Amino acid sequence: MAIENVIMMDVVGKIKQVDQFAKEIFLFNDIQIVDAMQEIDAGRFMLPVLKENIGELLGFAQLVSGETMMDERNFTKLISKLNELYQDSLKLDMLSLAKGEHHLEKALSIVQSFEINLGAEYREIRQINERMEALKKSRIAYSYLDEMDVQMSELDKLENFSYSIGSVTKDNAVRLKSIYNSVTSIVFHVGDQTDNEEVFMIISPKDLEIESQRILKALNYKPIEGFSSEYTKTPKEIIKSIENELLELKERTVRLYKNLSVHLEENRGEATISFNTLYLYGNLSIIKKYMAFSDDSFYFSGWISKRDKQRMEAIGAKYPELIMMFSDPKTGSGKPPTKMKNNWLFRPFEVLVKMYGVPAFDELDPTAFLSITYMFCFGFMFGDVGQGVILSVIGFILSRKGIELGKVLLRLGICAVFFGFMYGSVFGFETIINPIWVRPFNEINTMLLTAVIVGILLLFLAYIYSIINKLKKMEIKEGVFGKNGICGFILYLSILGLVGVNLGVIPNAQIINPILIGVIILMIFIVLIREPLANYLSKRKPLYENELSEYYVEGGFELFEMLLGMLSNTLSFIRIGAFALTHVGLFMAFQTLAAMAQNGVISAGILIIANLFIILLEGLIVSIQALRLQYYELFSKYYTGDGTEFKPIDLEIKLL
Amino acid sequence: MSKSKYACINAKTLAMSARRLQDHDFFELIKASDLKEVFYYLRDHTDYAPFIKMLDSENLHRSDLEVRLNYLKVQEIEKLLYYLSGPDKSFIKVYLVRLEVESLRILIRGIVRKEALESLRDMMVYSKNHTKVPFDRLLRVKDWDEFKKLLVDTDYYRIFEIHKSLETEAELVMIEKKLDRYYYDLLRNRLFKLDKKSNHELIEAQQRHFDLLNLVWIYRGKKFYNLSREEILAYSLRGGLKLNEKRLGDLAGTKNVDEMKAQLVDSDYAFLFNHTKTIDLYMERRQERYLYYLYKRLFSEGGGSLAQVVAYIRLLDFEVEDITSIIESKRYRMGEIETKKYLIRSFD
Repeated sequence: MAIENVIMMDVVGKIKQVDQFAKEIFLFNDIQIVDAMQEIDAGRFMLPVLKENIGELLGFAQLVSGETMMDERNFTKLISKLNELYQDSLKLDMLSLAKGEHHLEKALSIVQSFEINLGAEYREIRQINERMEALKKSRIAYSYLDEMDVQMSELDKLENFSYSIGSVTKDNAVRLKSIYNSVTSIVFHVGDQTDNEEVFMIISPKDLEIESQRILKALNYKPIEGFSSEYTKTPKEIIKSIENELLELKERTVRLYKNLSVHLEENRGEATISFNTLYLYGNLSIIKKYMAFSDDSFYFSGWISKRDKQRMEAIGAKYPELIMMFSDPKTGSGKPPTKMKNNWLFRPFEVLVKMYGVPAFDELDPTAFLSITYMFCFGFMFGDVGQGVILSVIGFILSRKGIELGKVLLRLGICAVFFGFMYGSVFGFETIINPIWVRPFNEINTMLLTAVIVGILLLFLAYIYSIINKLKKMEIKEGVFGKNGICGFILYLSILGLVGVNLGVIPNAQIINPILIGVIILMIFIVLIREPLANYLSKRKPLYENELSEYYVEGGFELFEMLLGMLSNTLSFIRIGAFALTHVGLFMAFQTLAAMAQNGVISAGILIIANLFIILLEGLIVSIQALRLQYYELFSKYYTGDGTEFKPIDLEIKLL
Repeated sequence: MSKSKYACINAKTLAMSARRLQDHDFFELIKASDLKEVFYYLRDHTDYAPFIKMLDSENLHRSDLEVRLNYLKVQEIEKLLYYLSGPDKSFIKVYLVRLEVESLRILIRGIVRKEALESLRDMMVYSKNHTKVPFDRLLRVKDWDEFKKLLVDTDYYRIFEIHKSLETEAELVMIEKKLDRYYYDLLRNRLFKLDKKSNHELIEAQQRHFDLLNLVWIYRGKKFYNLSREEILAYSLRGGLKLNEKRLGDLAGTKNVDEMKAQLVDSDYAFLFNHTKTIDLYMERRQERYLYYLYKRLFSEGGGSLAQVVAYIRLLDFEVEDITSIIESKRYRMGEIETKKYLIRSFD
């Protein structure tokens, strides 16, 4: 039931404090950063016009977005250098990040001293790595020519001709082929690259080189790197010598790394500290990208939970020159993201809600309602102690592996167990325990009727949700007079009453028939004229947003659809009773098969397969049916789900 | 089977097409005395309203209005995508790529002309859900190199990477031409992946489109740019219907425009050239009017295939173009009859 209130926080501070402040934000984490520049451009970032703010206000005129100034790549480079040295064995320590003082200069100097101390070896390794990269490129390059039995030096020495090897996309290769015969060069197709490119060798007379280059450029011809005049022999020999050199280099790096590792272990402590520091600063750079800067101030915006406001203010208080402003979403500071908050029981079901759409910030969070009713419907349809236990176990294992839906499965399984006891069913057998409530197959009518009554109750709740949601958004037209508003609800109740009275569910009440009919007609009429009525009451003009005739034609159809919908939505819930019956029926069919087999082993096999089949297939069908009821019958009444999700820092920005 | 596959989306398309402008809407727009009146009409009587209603009628810029009309295309195509899957979906997505390409083109022009890219933000029309291009960040780049770097993960990088600099108009023309070629190659590749049996007519219509584009290109290449045969062929499109590789070669190899026209006298496309004085002026319109009628026919006949959807999208393109022409005609204070001459649709 909970959607946390979020508020927009705008901060202006002095540039000298920006790193410290960004670090606080980073560690705070539970904040959704917004591009400050965009906020300012949209006129939502507003500073009170006061004398002491004059500097910051003037700063607005010369703002630069952090995007253009910040670059985390220097940090990433150093981090990957450390990672390369330690072969990814350095671990990030968030705790020490939160506690410790982190001096960028110190970290940088450590990395630098690493370079100096381990200099000789490290440089050599790097050189070797670079050399190996180049060799690999050359190997690929010359492999396109490996069928050519000619010394490369001869090709390089040609006086009147030049050659080049390059690639074009497959589409352009077709074009190149169509001008093979008229172009001023000789074109050979020498191979394909993996990424949708074809490789060609072009030989052209030096006099006409410019013209051929022009056409090649038109075809987006990209020369292949890796050819060099140092290779003079035939391509085959060249490749062989490259491979030999590669092998040799590889052996050398292994030796070098061995020497290095001794040094590295000695310095692991220091390396970890600088790794953490650089990691922190890398992320700070990313955060700063979202800020805007003037000559001496920085501007920052982000969404935080309302209950975090005090904590945030405490942080702000540490910086005397910092201005921190909060604005409520209702005062029009952009569309706020939605932060859902549910307890451990309901939280896994947020996935299902989000699958439909994230609730808007001013909407009720349907998760709790969905969780309870979804579990109920599933259990009702899939009541079996044994199969329920198996589902729970599977769910538990999946959730341990970090799959969120596993947790949903675990809860569904437990509900299935509960209803299993109600129906007295264990792995399909109804002879092991006695039912607490009914055996579904013996009392089919009870099952179906219960299903419909449950459905009606759920629809009541959906109406109430819908009315609250719409009134919260101040939509009088739909909330009060709409088909899912108060009038629609009264209409639904009256129709149910009318049916109840005449079927004798409510005895001796025939007298109220005319009243109910009157109410029904009145409500239908109000729903029909809801737009002009709402506009009239709120003194808005014009009364009709579209043409009058159009409105009533559409309205007429809508009424028809509404009445039909009430009927079909209600009856739709019969399915939960029907599936509870199918569940039993399916197993009975298998039981008959098993009895026909007249062989103990085969019968047992059939029953085991039957259980597997029911758990997998029926489990799937039932979970989909239950979800379907939620999405179509209930959500369509009360839920829009057009919000955007609140993303805290670690989800929104890609950490290094 | 295949007919019922498209039943749902075709019903949707038909419903959507009911919201398109009718002849009487166009009459009103043509009759409007100035830009402001066109704006009011579009705002109050068409479903372009949500995209333009925020514009200030007192301070209206022609291009602001024109660009915003395209937002409707994004909206409509995104709606249609919900009903599609597989090769059909990926084909329709190409029409979003078209908008993406146009937006990139505007940025690239901005770079050549050294404009502040941020000022072009409103001109960027693309589908936020279906683009890999980081437009927000592109708007902040300072130069061509930075621009290219941001596109490393997209197909566009391959087009741009060999262009070390972007300073002259000539380079700009070349890159724009390459962008077009990339788009139409993509379109063709996905077109030929569609189910051939049910989409026969659609494929043929698109192939005719390629033919027309090639003819206009060859004609212009000869008349205005004086390009060599090879260069013309390098930028021409493949996959046409009547103009195969050989005929393209022949046409590109002609010495001048007259020789080229002579080759086409008996072809389906003679209508582009069998006029005396107005070839250049109306070439684009003639080509588009031809396609307009082609797609109109596809729309009414293409029930059991993807053709109706494509036709809807293309007809929407033409509608936006016509509105744009009308807006432009107000600037030159053209009369009603004169304005109608420049429209793709005809009212006779």
